[in-house]
Amino acid sequence: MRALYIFTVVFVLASLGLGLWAKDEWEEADRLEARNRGLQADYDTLQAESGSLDRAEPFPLRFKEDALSELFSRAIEAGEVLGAGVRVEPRNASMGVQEMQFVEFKAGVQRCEVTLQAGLEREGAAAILTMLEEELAELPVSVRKTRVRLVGQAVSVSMDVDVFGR
Amino acid sequence: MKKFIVISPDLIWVAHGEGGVTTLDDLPNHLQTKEDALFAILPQIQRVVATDRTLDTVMAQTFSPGENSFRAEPLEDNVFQVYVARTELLDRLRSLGREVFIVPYPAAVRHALSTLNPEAESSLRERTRVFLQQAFTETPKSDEKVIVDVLGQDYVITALRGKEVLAVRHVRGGEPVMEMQRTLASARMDNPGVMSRDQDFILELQSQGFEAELPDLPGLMVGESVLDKVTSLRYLTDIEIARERARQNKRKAVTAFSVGLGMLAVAGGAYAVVHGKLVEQKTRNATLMRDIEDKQAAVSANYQERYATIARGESVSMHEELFDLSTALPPQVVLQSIERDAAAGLIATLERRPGAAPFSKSDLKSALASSPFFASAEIVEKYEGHLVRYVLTVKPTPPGAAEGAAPAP
Repeated sequence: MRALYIFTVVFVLASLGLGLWAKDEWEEADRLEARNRGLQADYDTLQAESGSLDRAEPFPLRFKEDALSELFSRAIEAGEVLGAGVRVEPRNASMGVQEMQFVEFKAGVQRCEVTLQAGLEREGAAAILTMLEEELAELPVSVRKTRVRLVGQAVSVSMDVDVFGR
Repeated sequence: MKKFIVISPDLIWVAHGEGGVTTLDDLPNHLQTKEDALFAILPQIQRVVATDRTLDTVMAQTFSPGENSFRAEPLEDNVFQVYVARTELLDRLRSLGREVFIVPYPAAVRHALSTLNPEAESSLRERTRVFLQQAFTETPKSDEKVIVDVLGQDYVITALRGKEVLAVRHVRGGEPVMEMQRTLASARMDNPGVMSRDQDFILELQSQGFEAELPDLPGLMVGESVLDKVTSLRYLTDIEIARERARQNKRKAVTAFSVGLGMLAVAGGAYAVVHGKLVEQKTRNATLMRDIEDKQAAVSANYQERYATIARGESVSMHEELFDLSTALPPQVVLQSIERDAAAGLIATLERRPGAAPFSKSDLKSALASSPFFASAEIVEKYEGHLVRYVLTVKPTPPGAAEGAAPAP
């Protein structure tokens, strides 16, 4: 009989222990479930992002140093050929930024914000701008903003360009 | 098994065989050693309010322990019918045979009545229900009964109300009707049904207006034929009490063990379910993490493979607009600046040439009407001293509209 009571006490204590253990695991499972919902949402976003990327034509990014170097060489070369003084400098050079800096833009993609400035003669400025834009269109860059300003017989062109590399 | 009804030490009714009367001292002559016997005694009746746990304590306050033994049966919640007997008498009776059962005689009387009328044995709640139902059909029949056993000049009067025994008296000599009425008064009974195995007594009661009947039962005393039916209420010896307590304790222990085992089973089941859920979530978490990692690597590779195309697609160009303006503008105005931004759209600033021919905003509109880029431009005219400027703004085209989607309502 005493053994029965001892077993009963053991059972009750074991039940309590199991209950507490189950409670902890329940809470942990709830936390994991909420976290998994967030992860699933992240995964869905990535899936959608991947789907939209798949529709784009392949055009591999260059290494970031190569991308910047190519921009410099082609823009300045084009400027020389077209008779335009072309200068490339950091976007915020007026605020003291001296170096070209790449920052993480998207997964595996680095971005450097630069400003391309060119001085053209008024006559034929549109044609030169066209050739300049065509030159840039062959590079992994995105022209965010273009400003053309007539100053007497000269035309000042300023472009905000994002250069992408990996 | 030989049966006896012990009314007093001097009057014991032999309830087997031919019947007869004997005394306590003469009882050994009726019983052989090692013979089983069943005795019914006239106990003291007590109605006690207590619980199973407190009954012993309550009884000990009224009857000194050791000298008295009692047997209890539940009447209602926390109300017991208690049959108290002298321990001395019980011991003496037990010494007469090998196995001796001693039961309270009123319980046998009640059982005998229940065999005559099964409703009498029903519970209090059932009796109430029957009473209420009958109230609408016929005159309610009282559940109060008085049973008078006549043994020569001795009478045993037992008063019952339903299941409860109100009183049991042994009257020696005297006027039986008068004694019965005393019993009724002391038990606060109002015109109960009277039963007796003595026909003369029944006739006498009926002549006095009592509702009396002769029950169809064997034997001289009403309860003698059913003494062996109430052995569940027998007085227990110390050993039997100890055994019964041991049985109760064992039952409690087994019940507690079963409850504990049940709790453990339920807790174990709950834990198994919860643990299963946790394992499932952990597995899902690991799978998602791995999938996300793979997808991130894939997206990263995809960006490196294709983002240049997207970047080129997002570029804004302006050479066509510049060409267009250089050919479309009338000679009265000159282009000062033009700016294109993906967010703000296309903004061109024109300035009127000094000394130019008369010119108005509408002239500018008509000049740009055929322009593919500026025909829909918003034109704002600004005056700064002697200068007149025109700001042309073309809002950026939404991506959907550019692809030919239907305009939003």
